[in-house]
Amino acid sequence: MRESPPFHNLPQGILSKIRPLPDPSSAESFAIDGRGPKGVISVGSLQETAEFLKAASKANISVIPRGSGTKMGWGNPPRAADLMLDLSGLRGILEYNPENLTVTAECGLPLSELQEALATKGQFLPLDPSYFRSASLGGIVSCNAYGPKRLIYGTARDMVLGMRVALVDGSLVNFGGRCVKNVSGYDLCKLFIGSLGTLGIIGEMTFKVHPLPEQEAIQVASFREPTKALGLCQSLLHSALFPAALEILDPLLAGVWTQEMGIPHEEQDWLLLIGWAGFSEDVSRLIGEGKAAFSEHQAREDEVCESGRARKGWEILGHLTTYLKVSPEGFVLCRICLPLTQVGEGMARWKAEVLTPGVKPSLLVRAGCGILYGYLLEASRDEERTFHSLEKMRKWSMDRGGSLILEHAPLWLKERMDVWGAGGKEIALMSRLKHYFDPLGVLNGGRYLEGI
Amino acid sequence: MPFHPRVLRKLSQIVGGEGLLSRSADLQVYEYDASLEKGRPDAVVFPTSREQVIGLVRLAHQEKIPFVARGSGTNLSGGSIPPDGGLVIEFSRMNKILEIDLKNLRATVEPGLYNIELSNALAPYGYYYAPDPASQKVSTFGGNVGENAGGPHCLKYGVTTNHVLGLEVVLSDGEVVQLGGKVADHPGYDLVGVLVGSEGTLGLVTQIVVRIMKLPEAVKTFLAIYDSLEDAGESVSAIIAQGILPATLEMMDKTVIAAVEASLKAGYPLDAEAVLIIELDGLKDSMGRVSDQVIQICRKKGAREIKVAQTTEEREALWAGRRGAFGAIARVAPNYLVTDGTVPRNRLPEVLRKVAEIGEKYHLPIGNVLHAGDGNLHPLILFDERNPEEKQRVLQAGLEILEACAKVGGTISGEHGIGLEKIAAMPLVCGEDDLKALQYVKETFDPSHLSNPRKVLPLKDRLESGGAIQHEGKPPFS
Repeated sequence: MRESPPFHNLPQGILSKIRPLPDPSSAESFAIDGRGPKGVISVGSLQETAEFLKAASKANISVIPRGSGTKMGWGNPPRAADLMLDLSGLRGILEYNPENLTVTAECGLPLSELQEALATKGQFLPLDPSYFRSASLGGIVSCNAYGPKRLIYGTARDMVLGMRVALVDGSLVNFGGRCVKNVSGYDLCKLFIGSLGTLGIIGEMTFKVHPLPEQEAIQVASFREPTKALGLCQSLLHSALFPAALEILDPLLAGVWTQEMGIPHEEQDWLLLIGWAGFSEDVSRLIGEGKAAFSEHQAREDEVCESGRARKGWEILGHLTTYLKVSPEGFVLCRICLPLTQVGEGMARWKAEVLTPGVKPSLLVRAGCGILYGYLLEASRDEERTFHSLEKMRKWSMDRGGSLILEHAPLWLKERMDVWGAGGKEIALMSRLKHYFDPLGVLNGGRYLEGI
Repeated sequence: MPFHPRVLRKLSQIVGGEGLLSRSADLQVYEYDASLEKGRPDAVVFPTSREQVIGLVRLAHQEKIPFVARGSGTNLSGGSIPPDGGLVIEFSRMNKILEIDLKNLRATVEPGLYNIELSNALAPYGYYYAPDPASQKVSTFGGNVGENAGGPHCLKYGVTTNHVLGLEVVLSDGEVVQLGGKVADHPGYDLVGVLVGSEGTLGLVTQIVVRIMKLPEAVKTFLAIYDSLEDAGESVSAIIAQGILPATLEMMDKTVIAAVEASLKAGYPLDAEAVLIIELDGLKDSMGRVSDQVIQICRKKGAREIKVAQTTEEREALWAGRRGAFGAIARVAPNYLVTDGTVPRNRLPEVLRKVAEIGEKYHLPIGNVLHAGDGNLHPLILFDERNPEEKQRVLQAGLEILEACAKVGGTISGEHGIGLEKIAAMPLVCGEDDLKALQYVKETFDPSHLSNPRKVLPLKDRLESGGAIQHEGKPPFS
């Protein structure tokens, strides 16, 4: 890591707003992969954000944006982390138009606060990423984070209609708008979604919102054989029943979830959670269809959680990591994306590759989306094997057109293994884009792919 | 300026003699699309493979010849017109379904395939491809991707970009990149999302991976008939405000109804001021109750009659009228300009009033077809282009309609694209700084500005590329 350039090159107006980190313990809580920052600057407006970015870029001071801090572990270790840009003060709802099903809000606003405002009009933003109690809109969109109900509602790219973004040259630019359809110019919202704050700061977003479903339910069943749970998921995926979510939990995660829910669970059983959402008579019928499917696939139905209890179930699942006993040096969470037809094989591979009991592996399968979340709770017990098995798993996934991304990993692992996995020739295009938007690479430099 | 015989020879070597048109009489057919723009190419080529497309683009790059991709030419904004001449690359011979992968809920197609052909191929298995532009019988996937095409069912299911997951792209220097694919979350920037809707200005798409979906269990289609356009508009807002998201909410006014009935006999009443085509889809269990709710809302908002399609034939007839609306209008007047402004849905009634005022102001008949549920208007301004004075009024009226849309927080194009036609209107929604960011994208993908030049962006100057290009994409800081 390079030496920090001196802050005194920044204009006085900005310099005076930089807060030093008061003590070493707070430095640690703000650190990215154990690095920096040397100070924090909190902004109160998007205009101020743009002015700060311009000054920082001019002085070649690297900037790490932060909303609620739920995703600071994402990405490769930064090349430098001079200043943290605290966006949590930008938390306004700027325009809510329930009749148009659109809402415009600032990046620092926690998703949960937006949901409360939307619920007063019977609407919601159908994003349910991990840590949704505190995660901010800007962080969710920058990381393209999503949750179980991606299956039916899609991701941020299906919901973001417009953005206002601060660029490092100090300009504020608008992409898209407040209409549900818009082809006036390139769709740069798509470029910024999932760009991990490497191109600019997404200050405001306009979302397409949905009416709250009349009824929702989680139908819970236990399986001795995970392949049976997967088989059931596949039959539902090819029906016209359109489940909202299909989540398979391995025995360890199943134990945690059921304990928090107060549902009995047998130690070696896998769990399937089927999410339903829609009009009430439809959901009643769907639960009936689910019961029939359970008996056909030799599963034991544990419970049907409806309404508030369903919401509780999703909340626990969304915060599952917080219930796990993990060591900071040993916790790894990787996201493995596969074609739907390879999910079963992927589950078997995960077991074969990494199932040394010492590292405490675990698995959650977003079965309808072709996504496996592989957990290692104590990877530091066998660093060498962890690295090699994850590399092998990544190669296997990439050979099938998929990927393996480390969503969370200790520094020792990130130093040996790229978080994202190499891409193809399109990396050249991405680097060029980065170069145009952020020529000196001051924004989250190094945290994205291939040094971007 | 016609191509040098050497260039024609090389083109012919790539696509074969039968894949090349260069005689003036043949080229004339390719100088227009479904917009009012015109421009004659110097040659039209019909490649049959990615390799041929690469060869063509490499040649164009060497010779600095601009090139424009073309499907069926249904483009409504001049997107498939070559304003500076050059090469038109026509994709009708690359029209195969390459793979239907039901188990993964994906299909891979070539750009020249007609939109409807994929759903037709999927229907026997109970699946379909959701985006359904009204031109779906002839418009191609390549064109749909280029324009980010919408359609009636996009209200519930989203537009093309929500269904395209992977692209194979030939860049303007002949390099091929694979973007996205069948699997979720490819690491890196979402370049598929950037390419969709880029109107062929960033490269040429040679393969497209799309999401396919299971057909819904139940469908119900209604025709709601109104004596006032405004009541129809208010019904749209009221249905959505009720928490119901129909698959479609389409509106047509009296002028369009008359044209449709004259040529297609869809069963729309000639004395109505407006009709709504409302389609609900989903599970059968809630269908009865939700339909009743929709009917009640429409009645309360002033619908004089609501007809429910009882048979597949009746449903098809209602839709045939809507899909054929533009064609039917073409029989009423020699020419029409269709605008594509989109507004927040609750602003529809006032914008429709404004459209009528603009028509009166310029003494021009205007018919309205709307994807009302999406707030997307298609006012059709009828005229005769042989009268140059009238054409001038039409263009002015069109611009004023777009201004009215922008003024209420809307945009100038919902699904037809900017192309050549709306370049002048871009400043209504796109400031200097916004344009600069869009230009970063153009310079990244097509630094030589050969791919569909002069479309989408009203560019004055090229950007200084700095070190970026020489570094072959490797940023100097890494």
